[in-house]
Amino acid sequence: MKNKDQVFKNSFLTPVERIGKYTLLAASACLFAPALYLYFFHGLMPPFGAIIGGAVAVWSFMMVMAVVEPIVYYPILGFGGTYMSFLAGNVLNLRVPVSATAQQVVGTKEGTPEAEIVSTIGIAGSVIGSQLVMIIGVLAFLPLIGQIQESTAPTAVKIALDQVLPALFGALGGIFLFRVPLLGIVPLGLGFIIALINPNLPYSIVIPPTVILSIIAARIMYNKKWVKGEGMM
Amino acid sequence: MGDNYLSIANSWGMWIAVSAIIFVVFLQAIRITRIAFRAGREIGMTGGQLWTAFRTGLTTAIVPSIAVLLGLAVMIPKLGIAFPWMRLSVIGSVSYELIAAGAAANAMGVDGLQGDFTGLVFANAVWAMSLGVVFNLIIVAFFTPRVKWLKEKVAGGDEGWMKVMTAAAFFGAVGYMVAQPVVKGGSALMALVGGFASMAFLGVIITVGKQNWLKEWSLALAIIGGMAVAGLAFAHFGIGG
Repeated sequence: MKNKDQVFKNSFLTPVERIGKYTLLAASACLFAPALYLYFFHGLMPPFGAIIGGAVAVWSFMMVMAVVEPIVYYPILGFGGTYMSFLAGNVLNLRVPVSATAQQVVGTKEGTPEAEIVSTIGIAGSVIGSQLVMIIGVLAFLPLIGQIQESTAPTAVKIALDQVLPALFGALGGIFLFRVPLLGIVPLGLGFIIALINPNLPYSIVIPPTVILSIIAARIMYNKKWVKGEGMM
Repeated sequence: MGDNYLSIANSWGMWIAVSAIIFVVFLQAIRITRIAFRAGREIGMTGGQLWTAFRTGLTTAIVPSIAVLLGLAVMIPKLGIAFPWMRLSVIGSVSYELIAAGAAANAMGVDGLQGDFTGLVFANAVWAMSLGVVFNLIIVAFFTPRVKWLKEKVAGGDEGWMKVMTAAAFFGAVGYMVAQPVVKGGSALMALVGGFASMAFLGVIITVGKQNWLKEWSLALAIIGGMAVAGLAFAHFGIGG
């Protein structure tokens, strides 16, 4: 048994750690290829303040997610699965069920090297599967691009296409009201108060304090046991 | 309405630029699969077991990925097709990408995605959507082998609190964005109400009608429902525009 753990470490954990780390660092660099392409080939470079303004608004909620998600999902995804899942995305709706299904189908025991291998291979298969579906789908969308950009579309259609973000917020509101209504009270209440005072403020000023206040309120509710972690993510 | 930037967003160069990271995704999955196959055989697993795991993963991914494509479709009118493809193939999710794009437009003084997009606004959306997730990659790159240590450092290992905190951070970010359309009214309010009603309707079908498969489609469908309500409200009642 000791020998098997040693083999597992040498021929799985160590090489996966190396590949995982270098591919993720390479991906972090490739992430900026489109932004740099727009700058070098089309001269499109937003003012520095606008880049930071957008980034600060996004970071104020993404940073929490960036740290918490790997911790919460690692026990399910496993070592190799974690490296792949956080690069390919769709962790909760795709990689987590895939890992569980693969272990169930093969019939491995949780926490063993066998389970780790099966989870890793299952997630790798799912990554390749979703990339292929996306590529086929994008090829199918290609002929439609011209039509969407036609400025001859009726006004009602243009209005509908412009409203994607408010539609998303309505949908998210629906999800949260069903699942965790208490957590929404403070951030939504704050949002409304600020919007009534001024509905056109920069997000980089509004979002960081509302995120902090929302977390403080959640901490109080959590300590009082009004909210629980189950069904949250 | 800034038609020019969409031809840049869908240009050949853009396709090449977004392909780089998708190549890395394939490379990583293939390399790790080969390591796992070899290690699996060394600890006594059969080729049949290993292939079953791979096939299960591949087939399980197909339907949820088609649902992601529906999310991609709603991003195309504003962001072109190449960049949303990359962002939904790597790390992203429909909600995160749209919120990041809206925040980038806001930072350029444009009224979210409803406002007039130009090349520079599009470029800022690309920056925000990319910068926003870079730490996710770096944290996994360095901390995966030390995840237990990280767990103790963050919130003393209290997993329940970590989940609540993540949800609270997200709520905190969208609270003001949800309130804006309500205060401003018009098409945005119609879309918000439509999206909410669509999601409530789908939620009833999923829970009461026990149609669990609808879950992964519900967000994209509710967005489309909200957009449709905004369009219909204008066409039939002259609201917004």
